[in-house]
Amino acid sequence: MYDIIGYDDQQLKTVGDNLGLALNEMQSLKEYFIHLGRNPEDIEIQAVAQAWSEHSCYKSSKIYLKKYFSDLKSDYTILTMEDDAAVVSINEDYAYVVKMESHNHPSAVEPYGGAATGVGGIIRDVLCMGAQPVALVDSLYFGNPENTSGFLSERFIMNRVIAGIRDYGNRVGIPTIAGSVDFDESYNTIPLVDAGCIGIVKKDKVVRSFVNKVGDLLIVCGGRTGRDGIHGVNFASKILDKSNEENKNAVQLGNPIIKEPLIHAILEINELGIIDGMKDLGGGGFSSAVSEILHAGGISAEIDLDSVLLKDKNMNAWEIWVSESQERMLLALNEHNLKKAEEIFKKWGIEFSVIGKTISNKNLIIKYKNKKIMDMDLAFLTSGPEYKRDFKPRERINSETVVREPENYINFIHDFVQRPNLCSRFNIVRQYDFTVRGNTINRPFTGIPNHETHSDASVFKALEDSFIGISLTSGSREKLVDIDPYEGTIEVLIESYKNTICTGSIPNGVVDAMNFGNPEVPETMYNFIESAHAISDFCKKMNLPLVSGNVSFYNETDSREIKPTPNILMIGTISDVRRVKTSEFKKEGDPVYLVGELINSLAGSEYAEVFSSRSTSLIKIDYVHLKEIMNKIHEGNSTIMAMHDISQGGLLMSLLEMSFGNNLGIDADISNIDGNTNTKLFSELGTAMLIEVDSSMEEQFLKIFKDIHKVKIGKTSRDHIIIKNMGKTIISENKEILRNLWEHGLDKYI
Amino acid sequence: MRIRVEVKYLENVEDPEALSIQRNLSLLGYDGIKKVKTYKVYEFETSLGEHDSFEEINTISERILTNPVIQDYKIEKISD
Repeated sequence: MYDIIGYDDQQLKTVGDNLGLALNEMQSLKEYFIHLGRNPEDIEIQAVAQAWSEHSCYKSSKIYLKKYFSDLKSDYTILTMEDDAAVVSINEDYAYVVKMESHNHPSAVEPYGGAATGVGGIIRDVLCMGAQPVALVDSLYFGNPENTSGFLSERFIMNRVIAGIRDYGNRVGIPTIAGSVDFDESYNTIPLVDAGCIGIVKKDKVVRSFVNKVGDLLIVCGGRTGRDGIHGVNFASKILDKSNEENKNAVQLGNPIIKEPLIHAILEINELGIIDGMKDLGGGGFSSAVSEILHAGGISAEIDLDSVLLKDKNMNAWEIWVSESQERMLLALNEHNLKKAEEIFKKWGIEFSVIGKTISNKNLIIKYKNKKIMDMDLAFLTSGPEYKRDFKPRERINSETVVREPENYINFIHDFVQRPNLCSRFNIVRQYDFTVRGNTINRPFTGIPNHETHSDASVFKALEDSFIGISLTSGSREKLVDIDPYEGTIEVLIESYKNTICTGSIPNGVVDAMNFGNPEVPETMYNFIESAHAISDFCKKMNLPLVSGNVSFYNETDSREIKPTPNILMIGTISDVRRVKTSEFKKEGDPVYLVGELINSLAGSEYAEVFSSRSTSLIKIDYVHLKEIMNKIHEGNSTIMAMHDISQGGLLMSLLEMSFGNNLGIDADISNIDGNTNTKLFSELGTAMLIEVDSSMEEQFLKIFKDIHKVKIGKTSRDHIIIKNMGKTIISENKEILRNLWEHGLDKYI
Repeated sequence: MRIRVEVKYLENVEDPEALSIQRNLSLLGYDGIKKVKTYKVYEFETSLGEHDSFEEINTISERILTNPVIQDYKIEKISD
């Protein structure tokens, strides 16, 4: 036991360092207990350390989240930024539930378990709203695959993260349908794993993340509580340290074989309408879940720690309280309904125990071995500090470098299509089951079987008795955000928007997963604020609600930090999945149009990366006309054969990817686009996308798109890629040669 | 020289495969099983002497076969 009330600042600091609390936080803790006239029990200190960690209370980001994200609702959003996941209306009876969270720190020390439990955790977030999880999304960020300098090599991290997602998602029976994989040196030894999940719920069966009924029983069900995953949240709020021995207990291993029946049991109990409140046990374990479910409902509880089912009999009380063991859910039920719940748990072979009862009190009381070991004000415990950290833009010398042209385009393109950031994702995504449940309409890959190309967004059929579909797309553009956090983040959102509308869907909601370095560094804080500001502006201008989000700070090692990575998950809806458009060319002789604005700049592009050219600014982009493009796509749906956005790799990669999914090539002339040959082919900025128009309906298409900026760039052809500019042939190559290089780009790593 | 490497989870790290086996054995009526653990075993044949073999396989085990955060390993000689 610590003598907190007797400690001087130096001693407080030492204890605080161990717990991940700052000195001023330790001082307010000391003050609180001086006021009570006693020293805290271990469990009380540990509970505070959990609740006040960056991971749990968002102490560095809170004020900006309030400032920028609090008024981004819509008339069809039901719950945003309130409970464990967002609830958004689909039609009169049903809603979707969505959430995305990062699991970066655990994945850095134990990539397999870290990634798997990231998936497991996000499924529980959706489940605890009473929803059936139906699809998973994963955006992954890895270092240079050649790097071996870390505690674990990049290839080890990469392969194990992918295996973790594969094993968990496939075993639990929920398809992994969308996501992204990026490579950048800044993620060396600090991988990012952003996992998202979407579920479907009947509107009258939504369960809230609070309980306000006094006398309810608190029940924990699913996995047992063990020593695994102790101090996960404090650890997530600390800098990764190669020699940090204490990290070892912070690792959790998932168990999807328990999760699957747990999902059935919870949904069946919820069908009876007897759950008064529910939360998943994630970061911070009981400590976070119990405190939050009670505090949000304005009541408290008396907890009997002896009744918690344990994996390891020799655990200390505080360890039980903060353990982050997986596959556990917390439910509040009326005593009379316990029997009904018990029958269902039994049927599915799920263990559970009643751990306490709600009371009307402001203090949370915990008893263990006939002794009161916690008696603390819930408001004090859960409020946590709030900081307004210093921020300032990074100093940079403004210099715009002109990127040169390659000496030989054909050789350059051969190398270009194999680059890890551009080549096919088959080796990774084919490990995931993306069709289980049988509702995936537009898969991550599209085209001729075993000869597919990349999709823009994935679409699944959302409801049993309707053709309504939901589209999902997720990713970030860290190289752009690193140049300019505001404009870069806008580009991330533009890309999500383009991906969504390229499937014929209508953007419906935005989820952010903000990954940044150390918030105590003013330049990092500035990046975060600007990025949040951009998300807010974009959502307002495009009339999109921001429905849920997550902030992960301290993605750094002792010497460097990651590029700012605001990952955006965009949800779209389509009234009829039979209207979904895919990205591969469909038939020979169709005209291909570039629609929207392609910005004449190579800033942050993969092309500039090849020449190691760094830009210091991004051009401000007008993007509001994307709404108009979306409306026209909707109107001209029947005239469109295929669509694909222009993003990483520029116009060239988009054209190639469209041809890779079918036995068709392209005969293109890009003379009518503004810019130099290299900016035309490789610019990744702006609102541009490619549309293949049905040759028999070109006139109709042109009528519908008459007020939209567009350039006709060529026609689909038989199996050859020909691109000309100003009378010069840049490339004329058999499509299969390029496809082959593109397809096998990751072979040597995975 | 033939060498055997045995990899296991550290104490306190949950072993989901073993738990599933244990659970299913009890469903099948094998009530006498108290605990199950899973191990992974590798066998190597080297062209090196004993000292060098152990050194090399130790490095391989540490760098490639295991993640020290959750796993532990044991190296044994099987035969010359």
